Amino acid sequence: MLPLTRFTVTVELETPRGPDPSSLLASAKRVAPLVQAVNLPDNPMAKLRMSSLLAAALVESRAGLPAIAHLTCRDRNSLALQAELLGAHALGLRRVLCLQGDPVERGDHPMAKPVFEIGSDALIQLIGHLNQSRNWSGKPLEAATHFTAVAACNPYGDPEHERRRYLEKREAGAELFQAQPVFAAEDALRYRDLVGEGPPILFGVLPLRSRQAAERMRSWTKVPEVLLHLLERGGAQAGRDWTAQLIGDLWRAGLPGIHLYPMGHLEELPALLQEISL
Amino acid sequence: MRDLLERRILLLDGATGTMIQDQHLSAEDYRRSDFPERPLQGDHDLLNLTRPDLIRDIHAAYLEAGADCIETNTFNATKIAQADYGMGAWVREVNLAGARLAREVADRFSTEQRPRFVLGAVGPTNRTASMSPDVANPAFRTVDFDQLVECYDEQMGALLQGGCDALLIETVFDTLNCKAALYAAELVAARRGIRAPLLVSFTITDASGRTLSGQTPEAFLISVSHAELLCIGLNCALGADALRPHLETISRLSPCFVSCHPNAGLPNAFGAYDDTPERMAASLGGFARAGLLNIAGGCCGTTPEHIRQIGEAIRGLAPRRPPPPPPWPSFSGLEPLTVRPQINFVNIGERTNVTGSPRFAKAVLGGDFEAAVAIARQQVDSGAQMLDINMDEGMLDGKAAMEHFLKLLAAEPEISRVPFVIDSSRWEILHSALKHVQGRPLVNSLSLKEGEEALVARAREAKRLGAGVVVMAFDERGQADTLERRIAICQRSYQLLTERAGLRSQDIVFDPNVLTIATGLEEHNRYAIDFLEATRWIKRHLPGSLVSGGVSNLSFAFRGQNQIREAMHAAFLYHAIGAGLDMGIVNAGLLGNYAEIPVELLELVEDVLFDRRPDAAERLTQYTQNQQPQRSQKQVSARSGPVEERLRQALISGDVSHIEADAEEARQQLGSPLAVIEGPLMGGMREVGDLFGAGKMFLPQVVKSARVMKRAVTYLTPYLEAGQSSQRSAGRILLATVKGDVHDIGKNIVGVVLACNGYQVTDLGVMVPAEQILAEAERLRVDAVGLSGLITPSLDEMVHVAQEMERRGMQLPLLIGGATTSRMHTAVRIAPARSTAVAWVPDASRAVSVVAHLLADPAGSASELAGEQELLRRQHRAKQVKLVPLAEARQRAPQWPDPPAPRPAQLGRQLVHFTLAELQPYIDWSPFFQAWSLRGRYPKILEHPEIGPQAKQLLEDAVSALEELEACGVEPKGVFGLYPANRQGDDLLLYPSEERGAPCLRLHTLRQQRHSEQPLLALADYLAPTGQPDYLGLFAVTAGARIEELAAQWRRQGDDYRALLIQSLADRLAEASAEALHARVRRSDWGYASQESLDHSELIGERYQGIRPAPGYPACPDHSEKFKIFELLAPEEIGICLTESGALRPASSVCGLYFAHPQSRYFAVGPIGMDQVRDYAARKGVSEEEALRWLAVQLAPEQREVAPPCSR
Repeated sequence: MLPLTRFTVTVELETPRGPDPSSLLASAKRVAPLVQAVNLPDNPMAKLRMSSLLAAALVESRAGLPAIAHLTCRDRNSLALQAELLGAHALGLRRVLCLQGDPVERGDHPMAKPVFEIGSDALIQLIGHLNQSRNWSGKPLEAATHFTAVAACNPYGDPEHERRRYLEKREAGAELFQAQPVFAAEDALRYRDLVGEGPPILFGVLPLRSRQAAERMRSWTKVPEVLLHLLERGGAQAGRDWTAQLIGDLWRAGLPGIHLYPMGHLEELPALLQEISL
Repeated sequence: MRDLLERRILLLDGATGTMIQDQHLSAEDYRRSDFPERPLQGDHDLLNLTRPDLIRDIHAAYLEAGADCIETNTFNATKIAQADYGMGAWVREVNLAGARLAREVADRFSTEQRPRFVLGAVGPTNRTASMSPDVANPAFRTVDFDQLVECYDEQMGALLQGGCDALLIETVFDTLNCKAALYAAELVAARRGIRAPLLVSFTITDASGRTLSGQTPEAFLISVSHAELLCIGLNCALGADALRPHLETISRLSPCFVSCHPNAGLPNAFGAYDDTPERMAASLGGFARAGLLNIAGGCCGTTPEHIRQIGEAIRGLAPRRPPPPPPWPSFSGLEPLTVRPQINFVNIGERTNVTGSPRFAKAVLGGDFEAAVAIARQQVDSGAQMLDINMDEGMLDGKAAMEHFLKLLAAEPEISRVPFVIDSSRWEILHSALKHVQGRPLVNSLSLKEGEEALVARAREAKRLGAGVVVMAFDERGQADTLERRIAICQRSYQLLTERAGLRSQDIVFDPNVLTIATGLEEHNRYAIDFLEATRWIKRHLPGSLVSGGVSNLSFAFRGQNQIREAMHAAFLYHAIGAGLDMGIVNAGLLGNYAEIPVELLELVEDVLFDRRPDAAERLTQYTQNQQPQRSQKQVSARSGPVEERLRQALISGDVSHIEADAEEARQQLGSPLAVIEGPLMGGMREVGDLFGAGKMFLPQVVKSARVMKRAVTYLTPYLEAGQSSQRSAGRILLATVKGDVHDIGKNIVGVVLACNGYQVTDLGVMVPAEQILAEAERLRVDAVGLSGLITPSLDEMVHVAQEMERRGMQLPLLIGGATTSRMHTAVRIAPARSTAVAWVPDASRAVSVVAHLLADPAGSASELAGEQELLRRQHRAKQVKLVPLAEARQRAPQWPDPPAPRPAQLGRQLVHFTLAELQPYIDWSPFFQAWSLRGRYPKILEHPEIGPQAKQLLEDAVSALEELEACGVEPKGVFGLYPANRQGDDLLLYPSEERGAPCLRLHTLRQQRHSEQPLLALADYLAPTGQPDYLGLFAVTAGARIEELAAQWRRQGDDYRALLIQSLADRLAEASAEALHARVRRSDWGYASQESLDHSELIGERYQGIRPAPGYPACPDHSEKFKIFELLAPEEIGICLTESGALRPASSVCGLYFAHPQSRYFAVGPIGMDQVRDYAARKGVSEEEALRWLAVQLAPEQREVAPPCSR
């Protein structure tokens, strides 16, 4: 587990498009003083990147920063998932965000065969099995793993559906949640109340840079009108100010932490986190 | 942290506030540019912002001293507490900074092997939610629950964000404040999704042993039992030693870890704290050795040096193992109520209900809350164990009325000692009421009426507010009226509550609906049967949960026919309790008894209850019409004789089973309660007194008769009109055990016997200073004062009381009693101090005759006594005791060959404890019968033609009481130590090790001086002289404080018989523990008699090698030797301490020495001369006067004349 007694900040980094990890490691070192862990996506949008598990192991060993590796059910069957997890554990990895995975049709390998043998809830349970020294077919392992299963959640979906999904993942064994971006602190608190008691949620925070970007988001999330106006008038700077303010609000509201989507602009992090690093 | 706590005792830091005070800071140190311009000096929490360097240094100093946990400097960092400084707006910042500072320093010291933890300090604030600061307005409050929750929420949220590992809610003086903090912690946890470990530490303000808001430690534990605490403990007020008994209670009961961080003593006149690091370390080390602790530390006045030494003292000691959580449902007011299986039935007082009690409704609606409170008091006085409070009345603002009433009750300790049942059909009333109760109440009731979500949400909220819930068999479709529906609803509710709302089964009480029967509608006829069946089903299938019911509903069809209604209630309750009913809402004053229902009526009632015949209801109605005129005759046929005769019989036989009904009948016949008390009751007691005086009744019976009398009077008291006194008293008597002494069985028995004979007895208890005895005697204008004492120093204290009485010109007679007192001592030492009567009372059976004589003819009896005592004094003076001078006596010491002196297998000190079962064979029953004035030796006494039956009965009661005591957690304990030892002259030297270098203890023995042909003995003779190996043992055992608590509890409940039974057993258990421990030491630990095998009578007859004399008894009469034994043996660890006179507390304790010498036997030192007193004083290093104070009784008569009359 992360040291969640404090206000925890995790940040999503980009995994390399080739075999060279140096830019990833440079990024990790750059954010290390500001955050408690970094997330490493698993072929995001079904586009090819370096293996998230191996990239995470590299970050932990070479940059000395805790990492959360994403793992989807799209590219591996249960045998491969387990084998990868065991290997990553041997390299020191301890945290895995269990995801369904974006459909291959949208990615850069539309001909790839989507696996989806098991779903994200089952993946969480699978990790629970390994932690209890059993494999997915119930046979004993030589030793137990010590993974923390992390799950994703969405504060903006249909409330009843999202509440049920949170509880199902909690039941499956998720110990920490990372949420999709929120754009107002009330939305985060409303979702927290909606799901009731359960593991901590790190709410997503995404600094919007333009009205156009915001409009694209509106299909699946809720961007306040006033933010749209501010973006139109003030552009990226307005987005940064709003986000810094939002992070402060979430912090003051007593929430346990945030998950940042910097969209490549790591240089903005110090300004965004200014208030909470008093 | 939990893992670590299981492995070792963690060390907490010490004071921050007093450390800051020592820095002598200036106003500037508290200032920052954005702070308002007002005096802030003294607001230490601000230093987190203005002088972080200073706070870091303090944290670092404690971590260097070895603390595993440090507390943040945020004790007062809440909006409420900061209001005085106007700094509320900075609270969040102060807490964040405080947490970060501590985190930073702790991380600096933390290593993998030795992690350091930061506890967020949460103080009580400076306001209290349970108490009014305004005496004239008990319902006034300066803060309410919601305000507290809001400010704690802010503080705790910030502390956790700043990096605290856990929260410590400390110095709790008001449980309601604490409950608000726990509630806030729940809110914070829900928001964060992380449950930070919670520690609670409360404070006991004074010798009453309660919190400032009045709760006992056990009640406090129950009140916070809803929160999943990591640790619970005590801090602040009182010094470490005074906390010990309370810590033991907590340690015994709490399933969580236990902490203690006391002050360095109490503040002295300059506000500083005096306990040295050494003393505190010794105390806390003692607690730890006794297995009481998981976390130790310091509060006000402690320094890093204190913490370092405490750390040394606890190093390597095993942590306390928490017991499993108690399975029984528990509730609390100021006092605990645990629904153990032994508790047959909990009766909930129903009269404080506006829908059920017209009198209460009238009072509340008329705004006469004083009258409403009086009704509550009457319910509790007549035995209600919980109080149902209902304000559901259309004309009333129920929420406001409930809140106001609860605030008023909070100011009435006699009422609020019982747990409340908050009764309303409206959730908002229940919800707000729970925020006004510091104990653990029940809410009555929740149900599925508004659906599953509402039930779950409300049950969760009730749990967060620390209440149990009554669940009614009611669902979306309405009230369950069949067995099937009752079962289905209860089962569904149980599942929702345990699986979704997180309740434990013992938090749930089912009410499967007591509905009205015999209404004429056929479908109602099975209601009673169905209730009983549902109760059985619940008890079998939903284990752990309780069943309750509102009994009065049952008989609404017979409104106005009270005899029938009471019979129905009694019969129904009888069967329901049999089926498993745990509690019921009843009129506590009017609980009938199944066995007293006339047979014919009972049959009719049961026909109705069990629906046995179609015309059952009609026949029952007819019964009232026919029976009214012959009613008394009916009851007569059930038992015999007119009611006065039955009362007399009940008193003489000690039978309480019908007493309330008979008292009621007598009241109706005689027309007034006073007539009953002064007529048949007093008459019966007089007869009891006479029979006792004539030796035809025995003490156990008398005590039982007294119990009957008490019950009858308690029943009648509510009917007495204001101003009527319940007893025309034969005289007022004040009793007390004198200062420095704790023995009181004899005195308690005398009290009961006198009360039986119509005297009004005021008992001041034990360790009562002369000043208090005399002041009370004057205030109550008593007719006589009785003093009791067991140990020899008490004799001097009695003389002192007599002198003081004389000085004040008090003319009333003085009674003297207790084991060491004697007719001679009274005549020689006490009587001369007074000009009026001083009478010695040999035992309880004589008390009445002595007192009656003194009060009936004061002048005559005084001169009679004076004459008799003058004669005794002459005899005394004439008695020549020939003493041998000390030097010669020493030469006449016995000459024995050196004993074999086997070396103990294990030297040093050990703790032991006993179960009552293993002690039973060691009990010497003869003194037990003696305590009850039954003379004869066990077991022959059981066959005695007159006393035998009584003795048998008493023994039976005692044996079953033993089982009960075992179940209540009575556990005798002992400590002993075996040491290399030698004699040097008449002194005993004990060494820490076989090297026999510097002795660690020197004890002094006294030698016989009375002229005799035999050798003159001293205990020292039983030990080899220096230079040869020999050994000595020290021991102390106690029956424990718990047993005294239980006795006191029974006494409060008016059952003197049980109380005295337990108390007299306690003495036997202490002796049995001493015997059992001695046997063990002989056979194994010392092992010089490993082959020994003795039967019971040989054991009791002490047919074994070696003795265990006790200081204060004939072989070593000086009680003060115990102070020295205590230094080495530290029996404080098993809960024994000494009074200033050297009496052991608890009273049922024994402390003494072990000698193994084959020749050793008990002897009496007997009279000694002044030469030995001087020699003894010199050896002991005390003044002659001091030595005399302890030895006065030993001094031979003619030598005594030269001694000061009283050594004070």
